[in-house]
Amino acid sequence: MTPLRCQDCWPLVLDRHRSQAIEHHLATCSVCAQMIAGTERAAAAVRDSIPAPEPGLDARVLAAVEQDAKARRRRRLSVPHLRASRPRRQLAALALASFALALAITAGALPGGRSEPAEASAVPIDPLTAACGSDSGRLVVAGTWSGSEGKSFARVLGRFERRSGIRVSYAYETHDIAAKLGTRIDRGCPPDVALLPQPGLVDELAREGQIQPLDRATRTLVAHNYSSGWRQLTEFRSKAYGVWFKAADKSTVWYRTDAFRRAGIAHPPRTWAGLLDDVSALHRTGLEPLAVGGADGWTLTDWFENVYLGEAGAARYQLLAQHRIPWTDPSVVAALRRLAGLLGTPALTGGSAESLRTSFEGSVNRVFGPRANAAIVFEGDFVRSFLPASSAAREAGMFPFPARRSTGRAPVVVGGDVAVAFDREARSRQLMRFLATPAAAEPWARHGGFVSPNRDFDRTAYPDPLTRQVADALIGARTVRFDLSDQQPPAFGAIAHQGMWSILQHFLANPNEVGATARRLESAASAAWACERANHGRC
Amino acid sequence: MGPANEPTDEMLVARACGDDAEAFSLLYRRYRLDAWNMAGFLLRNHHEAEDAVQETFVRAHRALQQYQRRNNTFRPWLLAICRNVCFDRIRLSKRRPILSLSDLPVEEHSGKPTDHDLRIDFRRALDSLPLKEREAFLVVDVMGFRSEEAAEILGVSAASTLRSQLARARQSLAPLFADPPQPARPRPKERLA
Repeated sequence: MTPLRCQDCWPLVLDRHRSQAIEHHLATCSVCAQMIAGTERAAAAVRDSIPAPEPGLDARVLAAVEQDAKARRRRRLSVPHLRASRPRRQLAALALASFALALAITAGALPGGRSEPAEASAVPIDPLTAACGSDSGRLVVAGTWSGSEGKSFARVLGRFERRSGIRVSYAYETHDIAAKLGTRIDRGCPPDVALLPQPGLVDELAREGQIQPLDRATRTLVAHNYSSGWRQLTEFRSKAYGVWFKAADKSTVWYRTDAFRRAGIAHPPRTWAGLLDDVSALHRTGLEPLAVGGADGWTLTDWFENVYLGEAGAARYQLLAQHRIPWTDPSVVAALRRLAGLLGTPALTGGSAESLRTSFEGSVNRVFGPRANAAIVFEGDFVRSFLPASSAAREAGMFPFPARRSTGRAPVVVGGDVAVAFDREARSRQLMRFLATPAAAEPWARHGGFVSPNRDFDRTAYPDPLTRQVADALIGARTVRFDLSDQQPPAFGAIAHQGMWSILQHFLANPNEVGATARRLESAASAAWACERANHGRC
Repeated sequence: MGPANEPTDEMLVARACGDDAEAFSLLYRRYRLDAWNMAGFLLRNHHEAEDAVQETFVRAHRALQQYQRRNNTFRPWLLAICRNVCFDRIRLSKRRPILSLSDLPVEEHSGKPTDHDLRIDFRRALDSLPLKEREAFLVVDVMGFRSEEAAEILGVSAASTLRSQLARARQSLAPLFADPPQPARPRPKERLA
């Protein structure tokens, strides 16, 4: 019998192989015993960390499967009726009827002066298929929200349906809506309206002539209801194509008001210099001024984006977002240096090792948790949803990411979803017009987890004051730029342990390596963009 | 009815392809926890995990005909779908943080290491592993798949590659849970004889 080596034995045991040689080795080898027991305990620890599913999950999943199967059966059975073949006369009649309804919709009333029914009619929610299927006669709206968000958006569409009498269905694509829309366009059956998570797609579709410019009535509404920063994000060759519906503010800083009071800080800082002064004052009180969630690399990309936008300005930010300037550009180096001055100072953050151990949730807990030991955490408006039930969280305040200089308002890094219309049908135009009105935002805003970029939206509809404050910061911004890492190929901007996430984590641990970090970023970005271009976005 | 009389996955798939909702329901109940565990591990948020489980079974139901044509084992096929669903969601929500299932405040304190410290160290060790190694550990050691099945679920071309990833994961994680070294035990007399 050939004696086994440790490195061969314990993996075999864990893979459920047993033999006499293995048994003989195990009887005397403490190393193997340790590895086997350790692995089994580690696996048990993972199993223990995953809670049991909610009792309602089974019914929910099986109902979804059944609903999906029914929808597919309906599509198979219904008579093919392609939208393109609809008689022009019918379209003209529809257009007239829609035009008559438009005023009623924007005025918030049903035709005939009736009030809106309390009960929502159910807007069908289905996955967006690559196949065209048959025409149900409903206006097809595509978006990326599924689950509870999908239901919230269906409420919005339900309100439109009730007010206009136009039947609508909602189709979601959570993975790659650009690719799915491309397939549908190739097959001649794009949805009527889509809500896109990236303004870059608006440019692309407008350049290809696939989406329609806003009509005059919607343009008027948009000009009235949205700030110029938001409007510019969806303009292509001086024409407006999109209506922003949902927004996220990625330039919010969250702090403990009681900690600021103790440090003698009367007002939150408005400039970078003010922030540096305030963190020094907080440090003197014995608190760690900043909690940084560096274990999640995306928090560092958000730090960089905000510093870079302030440092380099909106135009250069956009060039970098499209990799039309390299990451070794002096503006990037300057932003990294500025970032290192703050995050690389151990006294202000508890040290890079601590920051790299702290997840995003951990960073919020370090400021607002039961054993809080820090005063400020920077991240997007979604921090609001992560505030724990603690006395510290009751002291939560928010201020906009500080401006580079004292003059003017700071630009804002945003995320959001923008509606575009693929056809010129009157009912699509009508929906676009509706989405530009405050009435469209209300059903979702009331349920929380939603901020409207529409400055005409009644802020009292938001469920709490902090959401109201976030909304104010968003609609008041003069310059907005879309999240930079979200505009990168995923391999560079969106995946843990690689690309921007990993390089900025290394930078956090080694803040003196400014030049080397810029070179690493450029090298990774070049490779990711080259792959993206060679494979048409399939990297 | 004992296990021997229970319909096989393939029988249930064939019935489900014929619009037998009960057959698919049985398949769901057989593998719902597998899908839940995978989604919970990858997404770390129970709302996201619930959505992912739902989407997994909707996609699987739609693709049953393709499964039949592949003539493969159902469980790895289903979990490969689940993994794709999870990564779709991660990609989609990459800018939206997800609440941790085990909400561990990361704070330092002095004194003797406790279970709490161990959990924190373990979580950090797990998070610091490359994704492929983490997944290999999940599918083989946590969920109990053989390495060949795990390779199929994870889209790894060779089981040997997966075994290498798995070995690295185990070498990183096992020492955290290993007992402190004990003095060598004397060999049993019969072995010495």
